[in-house]
Amino acid sequence: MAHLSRTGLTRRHALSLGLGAGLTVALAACGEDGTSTAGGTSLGGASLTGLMRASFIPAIHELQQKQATAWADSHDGAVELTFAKEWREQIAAVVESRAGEDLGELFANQAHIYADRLVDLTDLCESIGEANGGWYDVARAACVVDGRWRAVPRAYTAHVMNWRTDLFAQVGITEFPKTWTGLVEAATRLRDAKLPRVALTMSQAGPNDSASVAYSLLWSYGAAEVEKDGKTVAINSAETRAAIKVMQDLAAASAPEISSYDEGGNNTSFLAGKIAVTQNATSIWYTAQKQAPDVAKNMSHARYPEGPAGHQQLVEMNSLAIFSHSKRIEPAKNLFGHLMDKAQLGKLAEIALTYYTPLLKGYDDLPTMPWNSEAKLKGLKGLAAGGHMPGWPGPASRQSAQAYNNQTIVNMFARVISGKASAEESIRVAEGELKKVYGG
Amino acid sequence: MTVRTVDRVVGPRRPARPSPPAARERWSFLDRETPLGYLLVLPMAVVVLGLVGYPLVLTVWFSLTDKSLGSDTVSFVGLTNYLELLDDPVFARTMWNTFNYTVTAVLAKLVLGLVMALALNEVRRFRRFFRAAFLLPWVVPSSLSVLAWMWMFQADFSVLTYLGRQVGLVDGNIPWLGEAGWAMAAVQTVNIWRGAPFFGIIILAGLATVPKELVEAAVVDGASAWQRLRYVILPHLTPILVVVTLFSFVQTLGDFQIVWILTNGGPVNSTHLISTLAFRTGIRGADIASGSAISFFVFPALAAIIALQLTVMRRKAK
Amino acid sequence: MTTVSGRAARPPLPAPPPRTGRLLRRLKLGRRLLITVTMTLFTVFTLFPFVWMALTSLRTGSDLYRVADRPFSVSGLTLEHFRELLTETKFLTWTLNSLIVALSASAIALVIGVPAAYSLGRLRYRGGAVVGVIVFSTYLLPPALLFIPMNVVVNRLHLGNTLGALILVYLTFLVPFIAWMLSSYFQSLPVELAEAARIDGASRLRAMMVIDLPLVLPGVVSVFFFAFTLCWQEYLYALTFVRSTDKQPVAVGLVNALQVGDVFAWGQLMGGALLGALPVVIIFSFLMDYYLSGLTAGAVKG
Repeated sequence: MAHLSRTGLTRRHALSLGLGAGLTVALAACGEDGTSTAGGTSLGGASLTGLMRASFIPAIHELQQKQATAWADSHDGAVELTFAKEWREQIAAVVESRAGEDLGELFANQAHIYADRLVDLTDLCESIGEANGGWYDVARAACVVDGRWRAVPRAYTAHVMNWRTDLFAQVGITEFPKTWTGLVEAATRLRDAKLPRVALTMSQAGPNDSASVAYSLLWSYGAAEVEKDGKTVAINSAETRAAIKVMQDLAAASAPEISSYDEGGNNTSFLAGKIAVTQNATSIWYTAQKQAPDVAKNMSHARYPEGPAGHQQLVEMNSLAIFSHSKRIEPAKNLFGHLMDKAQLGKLAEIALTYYTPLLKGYDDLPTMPWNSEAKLKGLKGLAAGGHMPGWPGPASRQSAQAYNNQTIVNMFARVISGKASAEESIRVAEGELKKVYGG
Repeated sequence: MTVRTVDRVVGPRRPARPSPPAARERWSFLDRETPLGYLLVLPMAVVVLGLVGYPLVLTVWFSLTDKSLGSDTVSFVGLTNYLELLDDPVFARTMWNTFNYTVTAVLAKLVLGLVMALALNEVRRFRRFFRAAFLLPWVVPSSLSVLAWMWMFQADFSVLTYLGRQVGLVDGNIPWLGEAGWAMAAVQTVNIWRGAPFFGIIILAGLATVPKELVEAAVVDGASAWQRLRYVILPHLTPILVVVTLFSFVQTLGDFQIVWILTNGGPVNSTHLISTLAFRTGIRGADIASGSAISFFVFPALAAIIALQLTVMRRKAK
Repeated sequence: MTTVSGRAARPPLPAPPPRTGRLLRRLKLGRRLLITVTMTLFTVFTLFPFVWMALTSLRTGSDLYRVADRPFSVSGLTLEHFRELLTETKFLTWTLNSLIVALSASAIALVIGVPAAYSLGRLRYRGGAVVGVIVFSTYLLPPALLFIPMNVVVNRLHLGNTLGALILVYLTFLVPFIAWMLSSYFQSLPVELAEAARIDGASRLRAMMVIDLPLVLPGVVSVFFFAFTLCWQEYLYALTFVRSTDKQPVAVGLVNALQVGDVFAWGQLMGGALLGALPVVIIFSFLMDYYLSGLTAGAVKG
């Protein structure tokens, strides 16, 4: 690989000569190249740049930029963070070409994918953990690769059940069901009462939402795609059949639109009062307070139902990493330390309404945290205790990331819901896809 | 018409004559077709191949290795990635989807574009309005217009479903993006909506080159409108139809955004195209080796198209 | 304008025999009806999404959620979404960026592509076809993956995160497009004019410049327009090569600014889609007359 890059370099020089003077001058005029290096944690007048995930609350962006700028002011430089919905592609391009931004926010288990090109943050992460009551296990699973921390597990986006208290009351239910079968029961009652129905996304067009439901249901029935060794495919099991059965029953009583939703489709339907339950981050509630006050008043949140194996949930991880091509690694580490300090991270968690929930146990009982201070978010404390990365109980890995992106588990359920395949057929297809990925 | 154009063009030629003989001889090799041909095509070759050459070679190399995005350990695996695809049902489905998507959409765009151009050619009032209206879908960036369609295909909010309900065609919601058949039709519709105007406007330009004498002679001979179209106009349009169809074919074959935004390849991979599957595997799944191999499966189709294009070009040159 | 249909130029037909007169009139009426119906259907097909965008963009946030049951009744129109677009996003900067990129890339591509088109379409020489094949086969590579290795090239040229990167990279699809489309125009020109010029002593190059090029100018204009729109709508390269918010083209900037998280700002998005198209529509309208007179000039071919 290194060899290939070197030959690329010379070819590139030959090309830039061949391009012709006019073109080159014109392009060079648009060019820009910052290569200053400073010792210590001072930026020496330079800027740190970062690629961040866009979130639904603009205030989250502003706060992060403000916190970073405050740090930069005392470190003789600037920090420029850009927030984009498709930041993952930007990071892929930057990491692969080893040039560009210094740091980025990684999604799910990308720390495992990009490990070779991420700065070792072990000391930083261990010290943050010690100072804040320790990390949840899932944080370690997401960010520790071969014994070294490659990213700071800053926070996860809590997926929760959004439900309409008023509609549930009409069918005689006052608390959100604790179990999946309880949810099936509630869904059936809502359907029979011709009220808006339950609608948990199960579609390829809404990958994060669907995966959250699919993996969580699967795990809480004791099933898994792979064994603990991360190699042996284990999807073909009685537990999987049981989980599919529940999904079938649930879908039969659900709104048929669950197969059509994209990432935002369920939100819009819930906001319009068309459905009674959907899985989502708290973004629906945030929007409802501004645009659909009636819905906001009559909704609440609950944790995912439990199965025979208890409460197990897929965690949508957001971690911070420094790219090894960065020329400002020490300042970047120092910035991360600043952002993970209780003053900063606590403030972020406070305004983010569980969209950014720290994975540090020390935050669980802080009175200012949304799950303690907001009535409608009560009960969402410590979700990360039952949280896992894709591929659990095997380790997070490239393979598990692939299986996640192939949407194998989501499609296993979706095929059955659509009536295009029996549970047995669908499991066999999923097994085939997983074996390809895990090489078993 | 013809005469006026010739006058205009012949005018500025005269000052050319007094150029000094020595200079003319030095450059006279440029008057031979071969050197001049190469000279004129050279900048294109340098720019395009210079820029694409390295990425192309790198992508081919990726497809022969086990390279993963962002990994530094890479080993050569030969054709393994290609062979693995051959017994992958998702890939087989994708190949069929791509074929279905491309052929259906291109044919529909050709027919609609032709009708659009012929109708536009006959209209005398509001011509400019119609022409602008028809071209609009093409000029709006698809990253934005596809979102408009996404909004029109929303499960609970589809205005199309609403209209269908109003005229009594449907009852309940149409699963635009939630059922395999509907989803494929939906993404094809968007592609056709966006691409038909390109055909329409290019063919309209072609219609303007049909010699009026031919059409008039056909009228005098008592040819019906259909006969005029079939035996006079269409044969004359063939070259332009071929070029625009081939170009659209290439574009449609590589289409990415519509499917990626609207269905993400779903439901259950029933709308995945080669480009979206390559993206999912190579970028989102980080398996860029396999993703590159997938993307090279457009090669046979494109090679056939290019060969066809060259044949047409050569036949015309004779 | 009328010359396009050739109607004005057509000599009067001999008067039809009286008996068929009524039939002919009825045929004509049927034909006009057919055309009217066709035009109406096309207009609805092409414009409906825009009407819907406009309707959505004028609704207030909460009215949006009542869309499902009565999509065409609007309570309380608002220009709020447009105001937010223009004041709270960098819409104007993005539009300017798009203009810079699209105009420069298309212009440079023309300078490179027109001679190539002439060479491929007009000159006969060994190897020309091969060069053509190789260049066109670059279309093999889907940008869906190509942006990864292409970004390496962009960085080696020190163009990372600049508009220059886009101008340069867009040439890879613009130049073959232009050469491809225009070569057929060159082919369809009558050779006699250029040959006459050559007999008069003009070099081949000069004949190309003063005889052939003016004749294909209509083609050049239309190809330029389509090249411009290809740049205007390109997404993936723009997203990954230019990451600073204030350097992005409009297609990326708008989507990034408005499609945040999983709650889509539909009103703003639709307003943005309309506004994002506006500059192209304006340019198209200005170009229109020239462009159309160009179309008729193309009729010179005999």
